[in-house]
Amino acid sequence: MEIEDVEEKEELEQIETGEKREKEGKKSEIILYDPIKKRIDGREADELRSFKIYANVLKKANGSAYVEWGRNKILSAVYGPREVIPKHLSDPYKAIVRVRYMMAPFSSIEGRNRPGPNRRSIEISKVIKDVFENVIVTSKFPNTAIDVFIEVLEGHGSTRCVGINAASVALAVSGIPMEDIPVAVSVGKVDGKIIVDLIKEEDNYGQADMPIAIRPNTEEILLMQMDGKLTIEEFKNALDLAFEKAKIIQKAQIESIKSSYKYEG
Amino acid sequence: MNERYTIYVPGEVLPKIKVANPWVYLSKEGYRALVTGVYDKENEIFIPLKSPYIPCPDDYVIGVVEEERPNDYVINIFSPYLAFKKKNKFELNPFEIVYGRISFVTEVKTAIMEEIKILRGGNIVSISPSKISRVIGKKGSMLTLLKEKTNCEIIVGKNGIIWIKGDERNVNRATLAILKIEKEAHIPGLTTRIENLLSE
Repeated sequence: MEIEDVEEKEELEQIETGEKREKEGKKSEIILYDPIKKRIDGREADELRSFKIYANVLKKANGSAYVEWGRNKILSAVYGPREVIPKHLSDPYKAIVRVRYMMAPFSSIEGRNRPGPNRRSIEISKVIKDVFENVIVTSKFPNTAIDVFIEVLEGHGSTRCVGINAASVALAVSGIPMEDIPVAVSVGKVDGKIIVDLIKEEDNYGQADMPIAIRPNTEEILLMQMDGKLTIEEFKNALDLAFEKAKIIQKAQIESIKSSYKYEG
Repeated sequence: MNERYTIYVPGEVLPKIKVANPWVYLSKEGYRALVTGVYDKENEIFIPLKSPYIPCPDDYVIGVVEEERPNDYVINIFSPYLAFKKKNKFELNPFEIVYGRISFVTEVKTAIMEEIKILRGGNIVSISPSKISRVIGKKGSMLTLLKEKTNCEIIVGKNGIIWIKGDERNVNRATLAILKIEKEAHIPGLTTRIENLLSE
């Protein structure tokens, strides 16, 4: 115990003098990780935000889910398989998957977003589409389209991961055959420490962030993007942490689906 | 929750199953579910809770006429794929509700319909096609119960569409009962609950 305390104090001193952060390369303006005060929202480095998942919230959609993840609020709906319009997009061998990720004009803290697609949301829609194309059995429904909508009502970091978690629950309850429920979690590095589930400030001022989506049963990676720098050792640690936390999220997703079918008198 | 039915989500390993249906797939660990559904312990089968309707020959379905074309009619059978009816003496108008048999399904899964009958008046209720067998019941017991208690004409299509005709109050009662069957089919004691609901 004593040895640990001494180490922590040394670390703290280093942070106070700004030596350590300069050593890591990028210097952040605010202290994002402190061995005693922990992260800026008081979490441990390997702690997820508190979250709730509700399945089957919309009546008209084939499948839907609503997720509250810290300050993130995300609604997801799934329609289909249905007719493809325009028709030339259809594939005679498999169903096409279309994903629309969108942030509401009032979702951001910094003033107003312009409504409609922009460069960022088009890119995120594309990477989320690749996640779901790999788990949905598209060959069962040739010449059709499966539409997945992800609406960010309030965003506070890691929205694409939370969006994937919401959309995968919506897909699971929609009756569309899929081999597994994908799970996404973000890992990153702030002030030299590997952390999980980044909030907006950690994402903006941290040293690296890496959203990961996986198939829990086969442990295959469906999505991985990285911004910033990580050493190979840090990368391996981050990946292990992501896989460990994904199991917790998977359990919560399954629980939410099963509880939405319970009989209530 | 209860002993007979257990809910499984996509990717979960199922216990022993008698017949593999399109809603399961084989993996190293055994059969896994492809959709959210219930496992029936007594019959050892896996039934999806929700499923899209894929046209199949010899299914009797209910649809709505969408448009008239020079040689045929386009019928919406509430599926990702459309159905067609060739023109003969028989005349159909758009928005008419029709009941008929699917005679043939092409390789791109569009259906050709036969033996068309027009259903005049009445309402339609849409439920998941996988729950149609519960609305009919064993040897038609549930359907007979619905017809007797509500005094309505009821026709069931295999694509999840149910046509009800009667006076307004009875139609509402039948609709409520059918939606209840869809929602609570996996919970035991369904027939008693429906009987209670309809005798109120």
